[in-house]
Amino acid sequence: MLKMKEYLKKFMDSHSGYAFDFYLAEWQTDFLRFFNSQTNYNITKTTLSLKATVEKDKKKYSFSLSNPSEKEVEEALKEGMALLPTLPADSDFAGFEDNKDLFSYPDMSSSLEKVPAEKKIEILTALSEMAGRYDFGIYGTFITLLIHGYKMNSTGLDKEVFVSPVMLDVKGVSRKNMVTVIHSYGGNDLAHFDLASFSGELEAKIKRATLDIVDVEPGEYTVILGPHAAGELLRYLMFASYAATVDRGSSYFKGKLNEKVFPDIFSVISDPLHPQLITVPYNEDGHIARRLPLVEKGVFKNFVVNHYYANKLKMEKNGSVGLAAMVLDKGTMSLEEMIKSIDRGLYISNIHYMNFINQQETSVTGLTRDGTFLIENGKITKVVNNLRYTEKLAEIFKHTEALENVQHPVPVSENYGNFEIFSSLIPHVKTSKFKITSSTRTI
Amino acid sequence: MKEMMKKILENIKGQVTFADIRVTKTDTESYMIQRGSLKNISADYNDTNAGIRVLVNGCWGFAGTDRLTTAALETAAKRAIANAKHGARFRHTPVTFPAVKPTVAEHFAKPVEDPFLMSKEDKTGYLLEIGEKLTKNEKIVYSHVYAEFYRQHKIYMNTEGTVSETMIYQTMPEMYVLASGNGETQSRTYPGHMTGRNGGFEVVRDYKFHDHVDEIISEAIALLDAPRIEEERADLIITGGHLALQIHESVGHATEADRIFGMEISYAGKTFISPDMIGKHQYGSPVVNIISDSSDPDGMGYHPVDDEGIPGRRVDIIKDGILVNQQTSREVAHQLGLEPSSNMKATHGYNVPLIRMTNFSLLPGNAGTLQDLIKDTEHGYLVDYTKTWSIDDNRNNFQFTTEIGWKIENGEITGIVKEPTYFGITTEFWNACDAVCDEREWAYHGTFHCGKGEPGQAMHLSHKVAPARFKDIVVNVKA
Repeated sequence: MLKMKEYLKKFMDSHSGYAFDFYLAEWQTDFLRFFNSQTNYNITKTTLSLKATVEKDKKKYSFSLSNPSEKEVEEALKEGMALLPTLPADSDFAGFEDNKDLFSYPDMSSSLEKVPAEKKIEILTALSEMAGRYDFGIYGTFITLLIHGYKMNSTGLDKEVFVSPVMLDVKGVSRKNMVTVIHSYGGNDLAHFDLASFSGELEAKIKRATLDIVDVEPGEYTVILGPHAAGELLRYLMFASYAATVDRGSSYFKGKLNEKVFPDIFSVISDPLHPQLITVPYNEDGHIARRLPLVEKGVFKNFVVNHYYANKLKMEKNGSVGLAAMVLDKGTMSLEEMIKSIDRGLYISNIHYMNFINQQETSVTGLTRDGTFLIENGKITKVVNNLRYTEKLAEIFKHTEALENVQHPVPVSENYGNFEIFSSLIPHVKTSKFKITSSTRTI
Repeated sequence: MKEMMKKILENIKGQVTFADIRVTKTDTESYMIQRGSLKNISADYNDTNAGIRVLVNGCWGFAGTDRLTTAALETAAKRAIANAKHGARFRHTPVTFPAVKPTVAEHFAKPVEDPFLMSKEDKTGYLLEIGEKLTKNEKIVYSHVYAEFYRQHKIYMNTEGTVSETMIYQTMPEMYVLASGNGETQSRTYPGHMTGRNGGFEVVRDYKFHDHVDEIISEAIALLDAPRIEEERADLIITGGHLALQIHESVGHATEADRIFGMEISYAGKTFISPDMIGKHQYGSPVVNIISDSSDPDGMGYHPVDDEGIPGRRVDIIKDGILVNQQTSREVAHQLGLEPSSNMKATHGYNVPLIRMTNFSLLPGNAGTLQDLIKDTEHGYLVDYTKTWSIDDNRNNFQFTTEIGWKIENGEITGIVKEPTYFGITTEFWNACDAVCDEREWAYHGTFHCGKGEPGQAMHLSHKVAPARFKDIVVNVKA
């Protein structure tokens, strides 16, 4: 890879009439998929790819090559250079990212080596034995990932990219009735993973999932959103904080900068260097990742602005990685206190297949999954069939009544294209008037 | 390449119960015109990679790589075997399935206008002309034209002696406008949700984008002032790409049998179907007949042999309304006592095959043309052009919103409604289907973006449908 990097630099230097942007990266994953407490597939995948953009006179052309030779790169670049005069200009194009700040990596060891297959099997066997005592099987994925590459362009930007996270997603599924619960771990390594704690927390969820199953009527409920559910709903809402959505006319936050939108207890920060999150060194353009408050005490504070939209919308770029490192501030109540405060409501662990009905209005529909529970008289009393909600995301968070005093890491895999893993830190969220519109009648 | 692949399989044959190897070379090109201006041409050429899948000690192991030398493939084969052996330590029920007779097959599709030979300037010019027309109204605050061209060369080989070589060309274009006014935005797309087809640039021309520019602009603007559906329930005629999506989500994914065993619980989900329902369950009304047909070369899901050596075939999934079969792999077909349905596919060599839809289609009925069906409808709505889709992880409860609906009164279209949103429970919904149009309306709708699996794969597949009517559906869900 270093030889190719040098070649690309030389090519850039010897064609000064053009501007180039390159991302050369090696990507490797060991991916263990398991179901019913046994291996489904044990997968290894290795690739090396080059993403390149060549530009002149605001005309640009992008291409990708897989594991290319120098000859193939040269041919593709020369084809792009020859093509440019025939293309129309993009008047909004403002050159490539020019931030030169370098990230200093404290550790550049591979999670694939730190967590070998033997270690994964050992952890999964222990979890499987625990779940089996309740007649539950374990289902999910245990992923180690390594992305190592170089981002460089004609502005002089030259950066090494290294991320190697670990993600364990475990669903406990009842062999009797398919009631499902979820517990996850994500981090730069397994340093913060304690098998006994993880197993104990999963066990507590499994015990709760052995309650009787009921259905509930559509209507407005006070709900406690588990960290997975709250994180996903918040992620969809905060898409509107990207400058790209302002440009497209679909941002809920357009015109709301510095406006009080949510309750005082509600603060959201994009924090790529938070010690409990998977580190994100640079944004997609190569700008060093910077912390950015998105919502402070209910006031919408900042849009996520990259190099392109900074120029196009005349906004200040902020090097934010946006939702790739999202933190929702914690509150003051324990989960137990939150449950105790509800006479009749729902606990929603996770959500599934959410889509916008109208992005500008933040109206969505989606479903609950991985454990929905009825709260009665301050206690979780029943398992509830999965439910459909049809809601405005902004309203869900406007109705926030309490946030848990503990934040939980929630890993999120970007499953398509180049597979990546990010994480969020999310407390339980208590919110009112959550609109359930139908039951799935299934678990 | 074939010799190298053959040698790799020969070398490991003694160490495995079964093994296969796939090599794919994929080229894609995409064009994005936004607000009449070229934003991006993106190309991914010569994306060449291989995957070796082995069954050892009753467990699957897999290794994918983009290094295609003999040494790299040998390393991948060793890694796949090691992965299977490690995985087998956490496996209580061995994977088994019967052998099948080897097949030797090839299929080389040829587009009318090869988009990879056509100049980028010509393609850009054609699309820019459409894009510029989309900007000619001040109420249109955003518009785009997008086209994606794809071709893939694949060689598949397994230890049973099956060898298959294919080359396919596929194209997926669309245009979109967003109108703004009265403090809200409304969108219209054309040709709709599932616009992928086999073929090259002729697919773009065949859609006649120019003829539909004024229509989508005026409809998007009209939607700003259009009413919403007020009734609780109504009859719906669903057509085009949206009906394809309805089948895709509520029948296609539901009948992928890996979901019965929970193999996809982690991400894609489960299914409400249990093995005892096969052959008995009244999935739909008697006019509902649905097939999985990987043997039809007109559909994007065609293959002579799937990605584990089963020849392409047509299988009834729902016959006269009864669930009669499943989409299966060799492994799960054996567990269910079924014949494999030829549905195992991977997007690229370096990805594992999964049970995927191929050409998953609603057979035509006898309700005449779409005009005949509208005339036969006293009161209801015609809906198309998907805006939102959502379904639970058992594929039982769905809710869809389309961009536009047309109100039908006494057999005539009398106006439009914005964001018609309907909800249903899968089996109740398909049992409410009382009419399917005939062969004259039967057409393929395809997508490049059917997501499944971890690591995720976006599969190309298609659905052949004719408009269908559903009685007394819940139509007024609001956020």
